[in-house]
Amino acid sequence: MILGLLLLSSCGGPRFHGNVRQPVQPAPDFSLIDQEGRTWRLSDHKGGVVVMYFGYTYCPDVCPTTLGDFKRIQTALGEKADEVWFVLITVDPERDTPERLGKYISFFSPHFVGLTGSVEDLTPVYEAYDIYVEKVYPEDSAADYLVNHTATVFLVDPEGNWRLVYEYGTPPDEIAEDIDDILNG
Amino acid sequence: MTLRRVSVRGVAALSLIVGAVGVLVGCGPMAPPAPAITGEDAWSRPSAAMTAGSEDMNEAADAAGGQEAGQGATGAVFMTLKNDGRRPDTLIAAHADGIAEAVELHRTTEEDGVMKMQPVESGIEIPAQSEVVLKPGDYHMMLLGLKRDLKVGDTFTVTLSFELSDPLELSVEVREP
Repeated sequence: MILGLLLLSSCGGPRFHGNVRQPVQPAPDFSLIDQEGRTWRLSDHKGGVVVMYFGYTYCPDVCPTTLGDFKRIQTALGEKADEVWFVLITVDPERDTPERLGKYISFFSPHFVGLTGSVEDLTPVYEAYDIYVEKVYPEDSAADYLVNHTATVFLVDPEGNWRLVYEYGTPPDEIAEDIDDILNG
Repeated sequence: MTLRRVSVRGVAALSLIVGAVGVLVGCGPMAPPAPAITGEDAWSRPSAAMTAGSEDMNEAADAAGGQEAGQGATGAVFMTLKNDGRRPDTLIAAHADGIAEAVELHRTTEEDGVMKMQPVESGIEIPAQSEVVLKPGDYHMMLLGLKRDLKVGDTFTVTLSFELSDPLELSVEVREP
């Protein structure tokens, strides 16, 4: 029986680089504000792949690394990237106005999406995706505060299911391969 | 029996001599006794200065009561620091005048998928005859309050201060990682 399950799981479709979420379930929906000040609802984007990351613009190291990876994924996918939304959801709504997110995002790609909102709107999203967010006030630093946060990348498939989770540092080529497999059905 | 009764002090002295010879042979006569720090491959990602051409953002920063360094745009500088000398040294500060309001030494660490960034208060030690790589997800110099956009192909200068060595000026190239 267990052997059968193992065989099924290894032969039942493409083997992904990311961690597959089982059972397959719809991605928790949310509605936030994009860099142009427009409402952006996750469930409005079925039909394409949504790649999401939680971060903030004041973050000098980890977040630009991940957005740089998004840019590489976008390049690797070529025209298929038109079917992918690359989304940054802020963990720092206090600093990240839509305008600031827009400027930050545009330095990576004009096609990326930056989302913000009120703390009341964002907190349930962090909870739904199990994102740890902690504001810290380091001593001996000119930074007013920094934000410790979970740095995983999430993939929502064209049916709106929360399919894959990537740990920080997953090579962008591997994520691009998974997206390609999903888009190929 | 008496031959075996080598005193502890004797062993210590012998190992000191062996150690010294080892250092001499291993490092060669060219290694200077003082730290000898050089920097290689200093780079930074492209980054948008948040304040330029944006009155609203300046007002928002003012309203929040923050300094520009605390509210403005940030960046990071990475590099390899080599110490060819026979004494360790410690990087204690960095400056990038004209580029950032402040430069701080930080380190990113990961704990259960959560990324944390903290100032490195004790500085970054570069051991003797060794090197330290400042790289994404690890040690880096954080630029706070960027004064202008950093665009691919730009270069700027950082000045590094060490505990023992003289200050070191390095040219930083802005490029995609």
